[in-house]
Amino acid sequence: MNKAVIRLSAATKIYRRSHLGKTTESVGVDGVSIEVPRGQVFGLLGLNGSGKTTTIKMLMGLLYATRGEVTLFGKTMPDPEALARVGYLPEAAYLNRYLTGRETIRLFATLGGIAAGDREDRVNAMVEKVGMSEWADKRIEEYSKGMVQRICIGQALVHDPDLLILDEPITGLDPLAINEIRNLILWLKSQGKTVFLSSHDISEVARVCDRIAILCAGKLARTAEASDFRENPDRLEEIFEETVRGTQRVGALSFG
Amino acid sequence: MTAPILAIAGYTVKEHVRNRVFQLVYLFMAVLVAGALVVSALAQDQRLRMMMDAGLAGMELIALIGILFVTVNLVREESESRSIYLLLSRPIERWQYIVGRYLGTLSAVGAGIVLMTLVHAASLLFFGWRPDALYAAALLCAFGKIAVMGGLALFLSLATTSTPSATAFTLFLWILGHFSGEIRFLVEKSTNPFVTALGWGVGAAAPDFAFFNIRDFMDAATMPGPEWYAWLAVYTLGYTAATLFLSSWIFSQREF
Amino acid sequence: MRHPKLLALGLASLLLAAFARDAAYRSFTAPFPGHSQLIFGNDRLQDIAFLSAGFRRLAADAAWIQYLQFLGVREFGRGGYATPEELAGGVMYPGLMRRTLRIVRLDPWFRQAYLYGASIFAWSEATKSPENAIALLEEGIRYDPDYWMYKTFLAAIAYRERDQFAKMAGILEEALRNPDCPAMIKSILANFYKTEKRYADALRIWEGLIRDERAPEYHERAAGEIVRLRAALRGK
Repeated sequence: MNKAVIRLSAATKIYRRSHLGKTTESVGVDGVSIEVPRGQVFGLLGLNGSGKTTTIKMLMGLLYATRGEVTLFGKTMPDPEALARVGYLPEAAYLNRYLTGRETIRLFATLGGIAAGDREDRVNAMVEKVGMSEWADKRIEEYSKGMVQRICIGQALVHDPDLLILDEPITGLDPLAINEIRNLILWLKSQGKTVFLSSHDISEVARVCDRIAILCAGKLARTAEASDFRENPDRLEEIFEETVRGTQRVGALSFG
Repeated sequence: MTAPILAIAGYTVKEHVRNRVFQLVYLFMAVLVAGALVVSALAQDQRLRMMMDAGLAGMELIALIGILFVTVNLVREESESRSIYLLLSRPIERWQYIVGRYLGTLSAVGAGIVLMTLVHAASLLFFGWRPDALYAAALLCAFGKIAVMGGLALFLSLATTSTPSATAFTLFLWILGHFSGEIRFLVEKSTNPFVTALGWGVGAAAPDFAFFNIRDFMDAATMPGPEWYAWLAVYTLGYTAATLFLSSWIFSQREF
Repeated sequence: MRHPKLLALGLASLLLAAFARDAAYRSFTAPFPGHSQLIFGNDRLQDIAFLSAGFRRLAADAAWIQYLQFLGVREFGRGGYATPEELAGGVMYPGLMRRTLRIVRLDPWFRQAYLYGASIFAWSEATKSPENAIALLEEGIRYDPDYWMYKTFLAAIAYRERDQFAKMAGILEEALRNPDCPAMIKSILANFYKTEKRYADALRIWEGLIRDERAPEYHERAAGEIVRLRAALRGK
């Protein structure tokens, strides 16, 4: 019996754009195969444009694989039944600015399938857990970036998902907020949840991940286990540099 | 199945109420009061008729403009702000999102119509109007027209590549929809089977807005009967359903 | 292609809507004059804009206000309604019939426009044209056959043309009892009574007019007439 929570089998995404009758194609990801078992914290590393966000969007059903297969909990994506068990924290917190924080969490609780009888308790508990009790009834447009991030975490967790997908969760955050995200990931792991995250920050990935994969120009270039880098976080940096060297899609800056 | 639709409709209503739809109601109130003063001076003993016609037309026009400009941006704005990512990462079907957004918008505009009606009816009563069933029928038909217009604008916003083109196409179909009698006349008189088929096709695909103008019969000696109203209801539901099914189909092909 | 069912359902719903529309038009067809029967002067853009937006009655209302302005201050507006003969003949209100028809072709149930227009053609010396009055009323009867005022007016015009003024006055008295009766008819009948030296009848009509909130344009004139008629009655 297959216990993989996430499975990408030779997943390929080709972007096609048509303009004035001319179609151009570019490869987002190319033949990527990854399996993530239950309870694992999995990190996806790569340079800008390497295909990390494309991979995550295919997992979330926001993009459709051109070839290959993408499954969550054994269901080919996009599948509402699988999505009911997933929490998603996108790269930047994209929330409707006209709603309040509490309304936002309530909306996602409803969409997440939480029964009406339980909903208010779950929403209030989540508002408290993300430390937004005082601000929860103000509109998102009045929030700072950190506050928006907290509501975004709340919406991702309110339905108690089995799998968390985090796209660049610490990019642009201050050190305190990074620490909070790190603790959150470790707490999720302690709860037996599966976490799939993408990041540029190799040292953070080394601290929390059980396994990593490195994408280069849309292709899976390498995978590594925690045993390869946990004792020596610098080792992951070396692995990363060795893997991606020469694969940048743009040239290096050459000042000075 | 209905909970996600209602949740999406609910936040859409909040978004519109907190955003702009009701500014149109205030505008209408100002126009109505000013219009009543001007009209009463110009129209001699036809003041009540003028207030009735200008009010019904004004309400319809404002509601149509409102639903047009709100709907052509309804999905586009959420796509551009990327808040749609989180919504679609929840266990909902794409058609549920479309129907929820549509119903929320229609409800917000409908609430605006109710408010405008209160102001309009109060000003008519002040000038000695005796309420009649045809007024209610005229309002219901105007609402039906707005429902169809909203569906059409939503469909065109998804079928075209920009807001201006969606707006232009919708306005074109709005005008064409008021010339349905002429299209039918052409079909009836033509002996050329190609012209007949083309005319029928255009008549079937384009909305028939003249169908909804029951207010033109306000003092009429010849009135449509219950059968006509029943078919009008079927038409409204059928045409609106068509726009929503087709919008959902286009939307389900889309990637983010 | 994803979700082809949605496409199929969309097309099926569109067919259902087309079927419902055809069925509705089989049960009832709005008897509005066709576009070829509409009267367009130089205000055609205005009328077409209203019609294109689906505001037929409002188009008639706007035309009505322009009509009153034309009659009140002889402001000719954009014109374009008069025939070359009318322009050459130097008539006082050129294109009046076409201006009236413009309104009633937009809204064929605009009773006040038929009655007011017919009154002008039947009883105003400056615009006298009983044949136009009759044509207008006949057109009104075609759309609204049960509306008795049109027939009453036709009868009053017929008596007037045969110089049977007493019968005409009797018919118009009947019309006066209807709330739709144009104030102009009331003033015409009051003037007729005055010339016939039936001052009490004339006074009764002007006193009614001065209380009529729907005819403020007659109030000043009514006040003057009431003073004069009361003086005439005292002097009798």
